[in-house]
Amino acid sequence: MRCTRVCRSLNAYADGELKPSAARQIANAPEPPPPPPWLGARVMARARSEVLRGSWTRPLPGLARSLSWLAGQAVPMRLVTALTAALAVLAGVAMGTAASRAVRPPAPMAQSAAAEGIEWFDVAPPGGLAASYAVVDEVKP
Amino acid sequence: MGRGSDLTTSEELMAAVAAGDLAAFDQLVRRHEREVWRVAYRYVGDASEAEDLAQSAFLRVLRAAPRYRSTAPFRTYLYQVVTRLCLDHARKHRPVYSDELPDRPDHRPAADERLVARERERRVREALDGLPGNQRIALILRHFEGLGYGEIASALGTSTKAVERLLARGREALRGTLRDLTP
Repeated sequence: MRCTRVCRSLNAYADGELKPSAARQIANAPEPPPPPPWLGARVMARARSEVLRGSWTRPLPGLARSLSWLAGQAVPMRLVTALTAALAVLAGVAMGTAASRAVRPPAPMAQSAAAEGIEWFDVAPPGGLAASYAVVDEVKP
Repeated sequence: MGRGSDLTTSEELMAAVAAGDLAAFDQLVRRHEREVWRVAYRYVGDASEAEDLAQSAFLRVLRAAPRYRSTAPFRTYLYQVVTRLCLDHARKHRPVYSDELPDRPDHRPAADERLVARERERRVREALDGLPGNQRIALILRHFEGLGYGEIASALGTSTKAVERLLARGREALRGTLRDLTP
């Protein structure tokens, strides 16, 4: 049996839980009175005043929306948010500094070549690709 | 009048409201004020408070219009707004039990029938007021508004299973309270 059918059956079973007499009492409860005739007019009056006040606006994109949200908060909330943002920036700077200190200075080229057993770091033969590159590099503005 | 009058579905009206069409909003209000009012009135049992809730619900809809995406029927979304307002209201106000019901037009001729109906309504009202807010709104949406379990789950922001549990607990409590009512 499919889940949807099982769900429907369970719902029907659950709906039958209330005793028929109690269910009838609820079903027979009189309809609420109709809404007051002025309800719509009052809603529209409040809507117009919201539009005039400019509180009904299209959503702002990204950061602007976050900033406008922040502007609407109470002062303690603004302080907490500002403090959290400042701490996040400081933590980022500290982590960046530590990471840059941890980077070792590059080993001299000859040392690297020796370590890797690479002979291509030798002096380029005249007319080779490296020599051509050196020429091009010199004429660069 | 804006283009609101030419549109048919509430979802299209909401799109027009998002674009700044207040006439479309007026049409939305007129189209849905009865259901919003019904849920609010059944929840709080007071005409003045129900009116406040209904007004707040429509204003929330207006403010949210630019962010509204018609992924679900507008009616479901509207019930969600009203439900949240009702539950907020329940958190701020404790239920007030009163023997007096607001006057309302009643065209039935027999006074005794009217009395019986009022007594019945009072008992149902009290029984509903005695329930926790989420059980009460779930029962109202299910039994008075005829919403499906999925729609109620969406309005309450919970799962269908949770709605089933809420309704079962609500019914159990109502069964006890309304036991002595004559059919």
